[in-house]
Amino acid sequence: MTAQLTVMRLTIRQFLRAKSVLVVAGICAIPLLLAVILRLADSDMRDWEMRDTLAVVIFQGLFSSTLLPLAALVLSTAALGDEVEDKTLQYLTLKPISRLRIVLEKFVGTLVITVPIAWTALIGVWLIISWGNLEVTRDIVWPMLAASLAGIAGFSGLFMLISLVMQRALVLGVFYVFVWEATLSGFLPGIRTISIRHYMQSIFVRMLDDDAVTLSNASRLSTATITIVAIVVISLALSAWRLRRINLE
Amino acid sequence: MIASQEAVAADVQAERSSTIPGLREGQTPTVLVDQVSKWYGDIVAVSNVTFGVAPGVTGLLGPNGAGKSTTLKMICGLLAPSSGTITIEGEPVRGRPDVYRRLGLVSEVETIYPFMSGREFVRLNAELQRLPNVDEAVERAIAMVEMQSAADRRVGGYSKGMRQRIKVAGALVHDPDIILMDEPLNGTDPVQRVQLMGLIRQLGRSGKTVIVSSHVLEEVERFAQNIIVIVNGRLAAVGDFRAIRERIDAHDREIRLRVDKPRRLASALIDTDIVRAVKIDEHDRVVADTQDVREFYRLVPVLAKEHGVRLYEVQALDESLASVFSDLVER
Repeated sequence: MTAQLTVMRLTIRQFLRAKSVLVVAGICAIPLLLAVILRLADSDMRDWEMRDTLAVVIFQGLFSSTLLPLAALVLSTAALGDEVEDKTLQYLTLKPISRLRIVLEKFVGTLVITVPIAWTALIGVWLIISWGNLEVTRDIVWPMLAASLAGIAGFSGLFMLISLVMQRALVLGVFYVFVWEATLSGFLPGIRTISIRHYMQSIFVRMLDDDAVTLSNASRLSTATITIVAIVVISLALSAWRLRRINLE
Repeated sequence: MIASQEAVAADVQAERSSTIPGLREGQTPTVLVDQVSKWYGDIVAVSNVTFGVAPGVTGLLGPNGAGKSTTLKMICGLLAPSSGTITIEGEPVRGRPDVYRRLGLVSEVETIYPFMSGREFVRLNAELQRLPNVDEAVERAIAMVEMQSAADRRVGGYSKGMRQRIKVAGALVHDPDIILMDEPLNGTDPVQRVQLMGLIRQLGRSGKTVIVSSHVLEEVERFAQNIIVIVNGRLAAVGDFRAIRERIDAHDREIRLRVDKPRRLASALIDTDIVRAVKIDEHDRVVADTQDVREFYRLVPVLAKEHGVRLYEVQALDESLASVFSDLVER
């Protein structure tokens, strides 16, 4: 069993020794900093203000719209892209294991690092914002964690595929996060339907089921979940296909 | 009926093998490179190359940039040929991960996961091969390259020669029948070189098919019975080393010598019959043009001793070897 997870264990070791993990931790620390500033500015938040700050301002407005895609981008493009760049990928591809397994284990290895960092940040934000009255916002925590898991999975799958298709995947990824996901999908309803962020936030608002926390044209929970699963499955299948055809110089 | 079909197939194979460069009559190729080309835009890296390789050690010889690494990468499936086919034991390689149970590559890539120890790197290879007894295979492979004492040190701190040896251990950990080595002696010191050359010979003697690329003729001579010479992406010569060596030896070669008294050795060399010209380069090294390399190598230490000259380094110049290879292509 352990031998079957060799690539995943390798990926985790690579990330734990790479600067990219510090970058991801730094990205995820931004909402913590914001939470501290907001609490210091208003130490006597009312219940609805706490809920609004946590769910709308920090999770919907900042974390899920920009920071989470960036965090997923940094690690998922490195998972296979760095190995292509430094030519170590051949140590994996010249082995009697399927390309799909390599991709799957790289993907899971990425999630194993990214998800705990993101969840730690979100729980930290919840504790800071709701300090002294945790019950008021407790129901927001699970939807945040579930939606972020879905978002990290969707973005990681997509960005891993991009890293196998082009060399400057990080640049394209940043463009995608800021221009496509954060800007265009906000204005153009058509683009929204092909936005991972939209489905991630749909999962959040549907699970939370709070009239004060809304999303325009939110998809149903089942639709959003199935769509993200489909994005992950298609991205990983295409990555495996690409890995079979890639020329490694 | 079936027996007769098999006999016909065997006849066809035997007839074919006699026409494939690199194979003797009746030999079945382990590796068959059939009319293979590889180009990048307008640049042709390998041009319509055909050869077969049978068990034993085969040297893939050619100057730097000749297309040796590209050929090896195509054989092991890292690169797709632009045209032609490559098979290993009759099967195509690309898209067939199962082939890698029988194949090991020592690549030219210097990067090894720097955070790993040598033993961890070999173990990674063993685990990915799904070997039944990983520990035993790892220890055996490390012992083959005599890296036991340094196996627990981080690869990031290894010398180039040590990295080469641990890469060899990683490629041999699953005891493959077909082994491809891309310039495995690069960066090794004389002791490591002798040890690795002994290992290559031993692998060949044990019936494995070993292809070793090198740009140093004298190096290949020490371990390969057969050679394939590639120059500018074209097949220049294929076959028994001695026959090709005779053709190569017919050309003048430039040999550079680093000594403590260059002028004294230069004057001794010019008095011999086998040296056409001698010059002293800008670094005070002797550069001799000889028409008999073997005799030259035999004679130099004798002359140095006679004239009280201390010999530090003897090196065949690649440029002169490249011109020899080019002549082989033109023939």
